[in-house]
Amino acid sequence: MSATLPLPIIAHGAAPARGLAHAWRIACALLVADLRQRTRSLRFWIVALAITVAGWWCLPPVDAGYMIVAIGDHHRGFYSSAWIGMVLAMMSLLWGLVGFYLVRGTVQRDFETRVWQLLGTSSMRRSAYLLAKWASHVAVMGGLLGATLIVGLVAQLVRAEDRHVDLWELVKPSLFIALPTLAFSAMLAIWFDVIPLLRRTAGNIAFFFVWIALLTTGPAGIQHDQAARAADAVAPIEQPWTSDLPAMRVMQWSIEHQVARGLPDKTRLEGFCIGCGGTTAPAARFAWTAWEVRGAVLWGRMLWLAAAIAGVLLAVPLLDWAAARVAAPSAAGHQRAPRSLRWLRALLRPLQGTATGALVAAEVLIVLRMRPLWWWAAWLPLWGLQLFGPRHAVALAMLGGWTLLLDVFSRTGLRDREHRTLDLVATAPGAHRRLLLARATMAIGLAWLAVAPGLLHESFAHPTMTTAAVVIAASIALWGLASAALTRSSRPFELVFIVVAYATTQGAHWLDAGALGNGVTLTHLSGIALAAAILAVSLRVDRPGTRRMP
Amino acid sequence: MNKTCLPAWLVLDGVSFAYGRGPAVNQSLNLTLGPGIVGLLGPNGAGKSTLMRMLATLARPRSGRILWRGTDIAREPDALRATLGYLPQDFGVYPALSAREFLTFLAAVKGLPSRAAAGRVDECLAQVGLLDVADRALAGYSGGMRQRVGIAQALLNDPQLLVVDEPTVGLDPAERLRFRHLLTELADERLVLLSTHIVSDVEASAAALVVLQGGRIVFDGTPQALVVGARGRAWDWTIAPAQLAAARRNFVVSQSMHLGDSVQLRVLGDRPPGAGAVPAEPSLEDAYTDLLARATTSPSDRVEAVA
Repeated sequence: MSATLPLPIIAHGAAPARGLAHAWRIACALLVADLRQRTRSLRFWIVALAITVAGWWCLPPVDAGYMIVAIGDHHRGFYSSAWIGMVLAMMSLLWGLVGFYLVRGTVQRDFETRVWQLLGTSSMRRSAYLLAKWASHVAVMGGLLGATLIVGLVAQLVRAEDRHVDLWELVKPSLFIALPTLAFSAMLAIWFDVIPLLRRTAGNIAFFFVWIALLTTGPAGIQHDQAARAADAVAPIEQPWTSDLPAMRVMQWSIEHQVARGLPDKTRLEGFCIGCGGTTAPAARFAWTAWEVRGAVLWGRMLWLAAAIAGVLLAVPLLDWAAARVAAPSAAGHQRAPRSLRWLRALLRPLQGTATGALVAAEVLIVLRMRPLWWWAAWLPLWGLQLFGPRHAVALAMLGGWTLLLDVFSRTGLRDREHRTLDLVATAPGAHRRLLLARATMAIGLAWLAVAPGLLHESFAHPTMTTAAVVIAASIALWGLASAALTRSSRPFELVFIVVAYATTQGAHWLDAGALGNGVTLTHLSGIALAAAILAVSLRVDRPGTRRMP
Repeated sequence: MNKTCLPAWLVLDGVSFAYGRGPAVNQSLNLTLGPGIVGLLGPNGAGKSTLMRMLATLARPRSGRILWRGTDIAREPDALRATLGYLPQDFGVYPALSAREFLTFLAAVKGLPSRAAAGRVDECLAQVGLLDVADRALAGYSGGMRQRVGIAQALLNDPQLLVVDEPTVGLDPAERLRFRHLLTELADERLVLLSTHIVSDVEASAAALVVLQGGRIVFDGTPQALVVGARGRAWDWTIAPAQLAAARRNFVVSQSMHLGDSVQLRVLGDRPPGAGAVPAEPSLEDAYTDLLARATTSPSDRVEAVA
């Protein structure tokens, strides 16, 4: 017997709602749902707490021994509402970076969870969908900025340098400096979800360099102004209405005209630093009770907001194309066909003799089979440099090798969640311990293999460099796993790695195997011990069967 | 389910479960199970999958105990895991691996000796009919083929307790039939717990039946006992199509079939629904529907006037 009953028709004859009001209602519903989804995760609140704590650290007392935002060498304003607002707004170039990694992924999540199939077949406009996602990004980042402003207000009262509260002056820099910056970052987060190639680790790496490139437009604008002034010996009378994304040029102009003009030695106040670090002298302070800014400048800042919205709308035609290119690891009909890599299977055959060896071999195949051709090709120059380059180039090529393996380090610990195989493996006795051992062995092995030519090259000439590379490689591999165990996300490790790697290329020694002395090696040995401890604890905490939630 | 003639392998003793501080999903479950196929039926949200996850050691009961051959599996999960096969309702695979490689990987995860693993993997692949395509990457497998890989992995360690959660979802009729036969073959010396909402799956293979509703056990016995309990409560009733809506509103209708100018209904209840209704032999599906209806609605709530 089969049921072939007619279904009742609801709202018979009613046409589907259309128009701007309908689009607005849908956008609001999407925004609310998106915000609910985000704010109901523990990770969001941990990041929010971290950012508010960071906001407090940005406002140290006068004798703290460090400064986060300073004018000239060690000058800053008295902690008035206006100066605190300015400091927190200037930090937006960092919030925009961190915020990107926090907010990105919601469009991708809709694709991967197939929620898009429900949304995309409704009467919803694609533009309303993307604008709602963007607004949600901005709301999250703006909310965190708002939290730092509250912290700033508390700091103003606690530091008690200027207790007169002026809420407009507190908020004004955030509205006109920070908000457009964050909005632009939010727009980029949409694009990095839409373009399949940028959805995962490659996008997380690429964004860092995009952001650095955007930031360099600030100093470039300032240098241009200074060069023009030197040539004419006259400062521009009017504040420039155009600005770089983080508004460094606007801030520089304000500093020169609001502070430096009143002081005899202007050169001491030229330029400013963000994230200055330790200072030897106590902060020298000046009065900053209001940010003097022309209306045209504020409108100029709004251009960045408009650019962000335009950028979002530009992505609309690509949305359906992007949704069809779902790269969910567990999705049916997954991406490209994997390579068979018969040579690798032959190489790994000796490992198949033991259960642990078989696991390691499977792990290696899992991480290497889906690699595109360019990835394999990239090893040729890197290994060539390691084999034949000078010491400095060898160290850089080693760093490049680890960067190519970044997703292996950051995602291996998350694979069972991403591929939805957790229930399959977690019901086996001792599975977590066995898998962790295999994955750590695989990750460390690949990290060493990535620098093997360099190790060969330097083993006789610079044995300390060889030791350092071996230790750094193991440290990176273990910290990738430990970070995944701690945060259940690949992004924190990817962000930290790429920042540290970039700093290393700029002269820091954090990942520099070629650094003189044993300092780097000893630091990473401590790091290995700490990462191993975190992993050992995670084995106990995350033991299957101890979880209440499925 | 007290089977005095069979050994008690799995005992649920007052088992309850809740997510966080939320309401209980399972409440005071008591069961004693021995070897054979046990069907677990229940509507969506009845707590079947949660119970399955507890039995698979993936979730711990809030209260009560689950004993596998006398050992509390919340305290010593590995005692069960060594002999557990679990097919979750929803699972993924590593698309870069072939089925053989994936099963070899899982055999290693389950701690199977590497020498025995290769042979066992091929046996399991053969059992689910995937041996011919075992070296193809899983990325190219259809949904049904992936489901068969899931079944194969559950069999790798030759489990004594096989927990299968909605195993036939996504399978075509031929695959479903093959799976039912496979389950019957496997049931000789195992306890197979088959959770489903497809009554015909249970009818075809289960010797025992547990029905959950609202987190509680509302039936525990054999499928035949459930059918016997519904005897005298099933009626075949032919009505005009115009009366259909009222009939569905006022009676428990388990089946209906359009016959051109009339509709034949299978109605469940103490008394005939109206003139012309004739007693019928209830099927397991009728008995199951009747049981759920009785558990949720008292007869006095229903009005008996249609015709």
